[in-house]
Amino acid sequence: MTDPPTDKLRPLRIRLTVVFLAALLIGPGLGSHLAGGDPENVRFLFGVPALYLWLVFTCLVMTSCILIAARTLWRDED
Amino acid sequence: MDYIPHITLILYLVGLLALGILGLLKGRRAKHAEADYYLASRGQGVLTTSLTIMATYFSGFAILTFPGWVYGNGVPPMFYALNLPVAAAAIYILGNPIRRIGRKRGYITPADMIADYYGDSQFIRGMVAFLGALYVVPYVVMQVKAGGILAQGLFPDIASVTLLGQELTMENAGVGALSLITMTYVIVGGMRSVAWTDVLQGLLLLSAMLLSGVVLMHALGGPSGYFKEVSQLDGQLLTMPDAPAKFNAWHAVTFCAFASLASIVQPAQWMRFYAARDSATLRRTAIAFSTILPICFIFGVFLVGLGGRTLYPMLADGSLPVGLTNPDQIVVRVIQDLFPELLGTVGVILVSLILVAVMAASMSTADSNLHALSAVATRDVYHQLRPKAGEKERTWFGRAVIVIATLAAAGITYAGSGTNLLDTIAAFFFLAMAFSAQLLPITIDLLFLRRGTKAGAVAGLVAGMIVVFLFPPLGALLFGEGSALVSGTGKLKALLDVGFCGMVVNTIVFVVVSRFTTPPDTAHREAFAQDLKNQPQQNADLPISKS
Repeated sequence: MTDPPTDKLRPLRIRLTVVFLAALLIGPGLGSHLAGGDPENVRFLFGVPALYLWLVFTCLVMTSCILIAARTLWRDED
Repeated sequence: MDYIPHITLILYLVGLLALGILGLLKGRRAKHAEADYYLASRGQGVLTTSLTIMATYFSGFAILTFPGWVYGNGVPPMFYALNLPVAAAAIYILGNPIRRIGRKRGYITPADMIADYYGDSQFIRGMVAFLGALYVVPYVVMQVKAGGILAQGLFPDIASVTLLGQELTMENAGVGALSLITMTYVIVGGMRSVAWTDVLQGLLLLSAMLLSGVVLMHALGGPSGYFKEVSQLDGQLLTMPDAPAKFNAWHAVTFCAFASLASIVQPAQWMRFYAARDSATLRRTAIAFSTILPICFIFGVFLVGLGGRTLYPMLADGSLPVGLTNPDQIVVRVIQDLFPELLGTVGVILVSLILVAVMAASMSTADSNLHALSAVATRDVYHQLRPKAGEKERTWFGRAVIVIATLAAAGITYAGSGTNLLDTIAAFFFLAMAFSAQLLPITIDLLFLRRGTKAGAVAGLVAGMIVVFLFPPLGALLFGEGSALVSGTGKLKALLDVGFCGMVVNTIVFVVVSRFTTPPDTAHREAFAQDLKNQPQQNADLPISKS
C-alpha cells in the first residue's frame, strides 16, 4: 500500500476513533434502551425486533471503522 | 447411518495427527529450534494467523454457552458480540507493534518483552508469567473436560467402554483420547502444528456456527417466518434490561471494551502476534476477524438460540423443557432434531460435523494454551533458573511441560466433578480473562506512553490481581459465601466486568507509584521506542520462513 503523510490522516484517525468509541458506548448502552422499547411495548421494524436491528447497525458501524482504518491508516511496512 | 459419527470423528482426528506430522516435517530444518517450535520461525501467513487467532479466541463457549445465554435471556446477550470489532482493532493496534519489536529483539513470551522494558526484572517476569498461568491452566483443564462431555454427546448410546480391564465412562474415554491426540500434535510440531490444526478447527467452527443459523431459519419458513415466531416471545427477551439485571447495558459495555482486550493480550494470542510474518498479515487478520466472526454470530448461532426459544419454550415456572437440562445444550438439541428431518442423510452428516466442530472449538483452545504454557514455563521459569541451557534443551523441557500439563489436566478431570480441586480450577476459569486484563495497563504504557516505572508496574499488577481475587467465585472460596466483602463485590460484578474493576485499581496504583519512582533510563526508553517504530529491519537475528 502507498504511504500517505501522517499529518493528513490525523483528522480521519480522530473521526474514526470517535465514531468507534461512540458506537461501543451508545450501542449496548443508551441506544439499546431507546431502540428496543420496553417489555410492554416492544418496538419492531419490518417485523424484526428493533433491538436486534440496532445490534446489527452498531456492529456494522464498528466494523466499517475497522475496514476504513485498514484501507487508509494501517500501512503495510515490511 | 449409525456409523456416520464414528467415521466423521475418525477422519477429523486422523486429519489433526496428519497436520501435526506435517508441522514436524516442515520445522526439521529450522536453524533456531526454540523460535521455530514456539513461533513457527515468525513466518505465519494470513490464512494461518487469522484462523489460529479466531480459533484460540473461542472455546466451546462460542457455540454452546453464547447461544445458551440467548436462549435463556433473548436479544440482550447478543450485544456481547460487540467485543469482536474491539478485539479486531486490537489485533492490529496492539499486535503490530508487539510483532515488530518481538522480531527485532527476539522475544518469545509476553514476559520477555515486559521484563526487557522494565529493567530485566526477574520479579516482574515472574509476575507476568504467573498471570499468564492463571489464564492458561484453567483453560486447559476446562477445555479437556468439555471435550469429554462432548464425546459423551456424540455417542449418547454408549454408556461405558472397557480399556485394559478398566471400565470408563464415555466422558472419561473422550478426555483420554482428546488429551492424547492434542498432546501428540502439540509436542511434535509446536506452533506450526497448533496453527495448522487451528485452521481446520476454525473452518469447522465457523461453518457450523453459520450453517446452524441458516438451517434453523429455513426450518421456520425463512426470515419472515422466523421473525414472526420470534415476535411472539415475551417482551423481556426483546428489550434491554435495566441494571443490575443480568446482561444489562453497563455490564455489556465494560465486557465488550475490556474482556476482548484481555483475551487479546493473553499469552497464546500475544505469541501469535510474534509469529505473524508481517504487518499486512495482521492487517488482513483484523479485517477477517471484524467481518467473518460477527456474521457467524449475529446471523448464525445467535439465531439458533433465539429460534430455539420458540421451538422449545421454557415452562411457566421458568424451568427448562423436557430434553434440555442446560440452556447450553440448545444448539445441539436444535441440530439433532431438525437437520436429519430436513436434510436426511446429509443432515446426519452435518450433525456429526457440527458436533465435531464443537469438539474442535475446545481442542483448539486447549492446544494453544498448552503450547503457550510450555513457552512460559520454559522461557520465564526454566531458562531463568538454568541460563546455560541451550535452545534444544529448552525446547525438550517445553515438550516435557506439555506432557505433564496434559496428564495433570486429564487426571484432574478423571477425578470427577464436585471435587474441591476441580471446583477451584473452575472458579479460576471464570475469572481467567479478568486476570489477563491486568496486563493491559503495562502493555499500553510500554507500547505507546513509556512513562511507567518497574515499581509502578509491579504495584499495579499486584493491586489488580488482589481486586480480582475479591470477586466471586474466588472471593467466596477465600472469604466464605456470606461475607460482606463478597456480597459487595457480587453486587458490583452484576454491574461491571470484573477485569475492568481490577484494571481501574491497577491503573490508578500504576500511575501513582510511577509518579514517585524512577523510570527506566532515557537511553533504554529511546532504544525501545526506536525498535517499536516502523523502520526497515537491520541485523535481523532470526530467520523468517513462510508457513
